[in-house]
Amino acid sequence: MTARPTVLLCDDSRALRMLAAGQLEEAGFEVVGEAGNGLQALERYQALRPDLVLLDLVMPECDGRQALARILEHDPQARVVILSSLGAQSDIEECLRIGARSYLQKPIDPEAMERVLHQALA
Amino acid sequence: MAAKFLGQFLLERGAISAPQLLAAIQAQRASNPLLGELAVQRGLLDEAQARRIHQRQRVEDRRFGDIALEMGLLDQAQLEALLEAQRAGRKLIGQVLLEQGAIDADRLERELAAHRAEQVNARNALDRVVASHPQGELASRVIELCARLFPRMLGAQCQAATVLAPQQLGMWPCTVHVRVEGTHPFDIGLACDLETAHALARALLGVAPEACDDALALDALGEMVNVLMGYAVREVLPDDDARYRALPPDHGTPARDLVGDRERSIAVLLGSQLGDFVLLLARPL
Repeated sequence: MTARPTVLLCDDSRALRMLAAGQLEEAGFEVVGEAGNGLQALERYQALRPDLVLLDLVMPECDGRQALARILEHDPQARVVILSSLGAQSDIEECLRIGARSYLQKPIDPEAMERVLHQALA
Repeated sequence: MAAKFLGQFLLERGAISAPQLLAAIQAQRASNPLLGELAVQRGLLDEAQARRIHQRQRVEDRRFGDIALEMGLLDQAQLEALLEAQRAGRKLIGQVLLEQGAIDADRLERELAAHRAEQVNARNALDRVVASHPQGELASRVIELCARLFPRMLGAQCQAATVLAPQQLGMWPCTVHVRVEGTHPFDIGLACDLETAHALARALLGVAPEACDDALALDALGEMVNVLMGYAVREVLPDDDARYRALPPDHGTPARDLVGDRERSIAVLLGSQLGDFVLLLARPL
């Protein structure tokens, strides 16, 4: 059996993490860790080396943009997908320029999530 | 006058007692399995499959059967058989109260007629107030969206009861709203008491009471608003190439500050089996 792709889920909302974790598991991913702020995201990435990072843009103590830059500094091959609020287009574009593989808009559409994450893995 | 569920109506009129209502709700719940529970009982789905469909329902405005068909977990004939079995076994709360001896048949018949009349009056009154409100068009479409979305998201019935005045909003201390900036900017939020916030969170996230603290309850209320906002932008706002940007959920603005100005805002009480909560809509200055 092929191993499920591993995901680090980073969002300051615990409720969103719980909802998204269920959706990720359903879509065949394994949530190996969670982070509630950008600093935790970097620490957990270094410790867990997941196949994918799902990273919220707006988080305390080091936002998603800064965390993205630090994760990519640590591992230029990291596959990071940004989780953004509706219409945060300029932030998304900046993150794509920095090196994010793709982005997803909240509220998360499970079908879009599955498609985008598989594209990011390819 | 606000629309009420039959159980609450009977309780308020002294036709039944609170313990009788609670016993009837429990018995009704046991006799009315969800489609997923029925499918698991009949060996058509395993528990993990049913759970996955329920997880999708929490964020998608779609029926259990439609998702199961799309995922290829049930075929049309299986779904129709399940729906028929669900319909055949379904008991209404009045029937359960009758079976349990909480009310006699004559009184139940009279109360049902009175409840139906009150429902119609309450709905007409609500429609009139909403229609004459400066934000009535937006409100009526979001009320319709709530009535469709929340039962699927929370697994509990939900109906608009009445429009509230700002001075009636002090009793709902848990308030979250999201501001949507753009071509047709608006604020959309929900307010409730802490007990209801916990009940909503447990239903949304599928967690046990001991797994839900106050912070998680408020966080979940924010996610409910986010999901509602997403559907409202897609389905309610004009589709004219407008661009929108949603700000993060705001937990700090009291409900009466958000909807204090009648010209640009409205608060609608929503009755649900999980507790009453308030839909807040405002057009920012």
